[in-house]
Amino acid sequence: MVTQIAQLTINGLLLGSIYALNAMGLTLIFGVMEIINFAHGEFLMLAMYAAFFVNIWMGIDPYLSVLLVAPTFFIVGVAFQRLLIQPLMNAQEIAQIFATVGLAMVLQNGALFLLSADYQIVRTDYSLESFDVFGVYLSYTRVFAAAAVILVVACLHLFMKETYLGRAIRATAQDRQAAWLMGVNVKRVYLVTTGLGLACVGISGSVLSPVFAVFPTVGNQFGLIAFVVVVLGGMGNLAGAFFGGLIIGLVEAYSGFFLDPALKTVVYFVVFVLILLVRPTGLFGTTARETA
Amino acid sequence: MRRSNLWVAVLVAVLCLPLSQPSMAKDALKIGVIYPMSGPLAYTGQECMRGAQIARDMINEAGGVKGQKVEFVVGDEVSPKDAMAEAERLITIEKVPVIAGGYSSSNAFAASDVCEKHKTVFWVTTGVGDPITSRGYKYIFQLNTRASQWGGTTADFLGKVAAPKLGIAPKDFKLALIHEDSLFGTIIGDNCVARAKELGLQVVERITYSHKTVDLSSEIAKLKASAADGIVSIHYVNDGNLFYGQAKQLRLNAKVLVGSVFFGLDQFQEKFGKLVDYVCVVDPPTRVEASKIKEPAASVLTEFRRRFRDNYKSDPGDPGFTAFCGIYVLLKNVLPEAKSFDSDSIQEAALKLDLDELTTPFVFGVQFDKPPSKTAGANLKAFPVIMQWQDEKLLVVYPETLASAPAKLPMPTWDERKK
Repeated sequence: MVTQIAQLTINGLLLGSIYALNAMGLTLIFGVMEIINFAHGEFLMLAMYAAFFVNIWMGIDPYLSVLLVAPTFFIVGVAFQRLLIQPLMNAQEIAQIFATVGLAMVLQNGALFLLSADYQIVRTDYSLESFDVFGVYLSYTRVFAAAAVILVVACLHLFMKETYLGRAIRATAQDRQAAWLMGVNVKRVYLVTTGLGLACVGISGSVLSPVFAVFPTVGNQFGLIAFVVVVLGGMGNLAGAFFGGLIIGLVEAYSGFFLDPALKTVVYFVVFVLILLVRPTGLFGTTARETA
Repeated sequence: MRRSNLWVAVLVAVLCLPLSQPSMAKDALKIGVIYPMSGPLAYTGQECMRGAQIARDMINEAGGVKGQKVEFVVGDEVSPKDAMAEAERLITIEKVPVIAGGYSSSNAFAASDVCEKHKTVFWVTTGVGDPITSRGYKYIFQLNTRASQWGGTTADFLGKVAAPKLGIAPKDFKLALIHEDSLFGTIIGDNCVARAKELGLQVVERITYSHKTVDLSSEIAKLKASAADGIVSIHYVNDGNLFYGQAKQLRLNAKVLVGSVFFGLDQFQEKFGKLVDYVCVVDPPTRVEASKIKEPAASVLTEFRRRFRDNYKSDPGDPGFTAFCGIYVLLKNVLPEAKSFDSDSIQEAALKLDLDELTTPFVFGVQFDKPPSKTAGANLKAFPVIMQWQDEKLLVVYPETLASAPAKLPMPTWDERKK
């Protein structure tokens, strides 16, 4: 029984860190710009395809492909901000929502058309392997995903605290007007933030490509849960998204085993609603502006 | 001003000319075809379409149907709602006399209401859900085996072949099920449990999950805790991939595993290599050796497999196979017998159809239950088989009459496989 509980906890934490990793880019962009990127899942899908193609064309391991995919997605993010978001910064929210929802549809259906619906699988020697710690099995790929999310959170935290650009991003998140008056180049901050947000998606896509099959609608599977994690953690809060992901993962693992797997989603939404009832701004919501 | 208007009118007329030309040529015979071309089931939907296209091409190359070439008007069945809208469009706007296709049972079920309302034949090639033909409808025909049969055949195989081979008495044989929670998985699950109980097997666990899930670790933990001898696992493609990968990582062992859909596709072998061995699959008779059936069906089947492999670099799985066979029977055995190409004549010809076992590329025969029976339109002669991966090849192992090899059991544990 002890091994079983330990295994469930590990399963939950590893799954939760995948959720957290996916939520990073979304929460970063929201925290600074208050724009909800509904195309988040589709960008993740593109990042997974990018890692897949880098793997089959150049024979580069999906984990090393991060070095190519993340910078590429930084550029994609800058373009996304410059061409789609910036013109809508002062528009009504409804216009912003439809712009990103529309982009999501274009990306998903474009992928279906160009890449076909085939499931693509990145084959590596280690993607099916796991190791054993006192009878508890840990899959290498999921452990790597957990390490990646911890690294991403730590780096972003340091960047926000210790660099001028990071401080400028936080200032802009707190009060765009005041930051501008203090001489912060707000437009540049937005470009960098969206770039960083999508670079996180790029990292996520590379790290997840040996774990999951890649197909044009894969974004749907991760999109919804990323939103849940972001709202649960307090919109725009990195640490919140991290712990939000872990909580959802653990709730899924325990409820799936002790109650009924068919109720997993129900249970985590109940937990989600309960937490929001007690803390309407999410777990770390009140300090969102501070730590974004 | 007026003159320029005239020029515009002439220009428009000239540009429109090519559009009106096809109707001047001898009309092609248009039939509606719906499969999921986008959305989460698009992969299998596209495989269906490949099978359907090969059937159409083979018929057209042999002169078409009564001298008319066959053309497809394609609809996309992403969800039940879309399936209904697409069926409505094909019938009322494209005016097709018959709609063939239907991969997802839930979607085909939804579309069947629309077809029956418009008195248009719905020729369901692939969907296996029993409810599709359970309401005494007159225009709905279901060619493939029914999900209830998959569940029953699986339990029969476990009780009559696997348990004795493993030296376990049926009453001591512990069976656990895991299946996705749509119509497809649920019906197979229900019937497998019912038949297993008739055979006296112990059903120790039954787990349902959504095929859109990204994690099956708690499901696998539950299966491990059940310590079952046999596991029946009914998945679509992506969730099947997830299940088998996590089963390996978390060391879920069983003496026999019977799966479906993904486990019967070449992709399963491409992903897992040697690890596919010993896995059993319940499916329509997709891999029966052509030499076991009669001519000309044997040559048709061989030609289909050759074209599929040449074009798509893999062997057809259940979706491509059933779509091919279903469309081929429609174009070869039904439409040529219809007095005219209206829905009532086609329905009449379909009801008269009586093809024996081993005389169709399906391997099984085709004869429909007739109204006023509640299951009118169900194929009375369809049956599934059990196949098993042996040396990375999928071989029929049950029933014995069609088997290429006996079943190899028990399945080794993950740690034994390593050695």
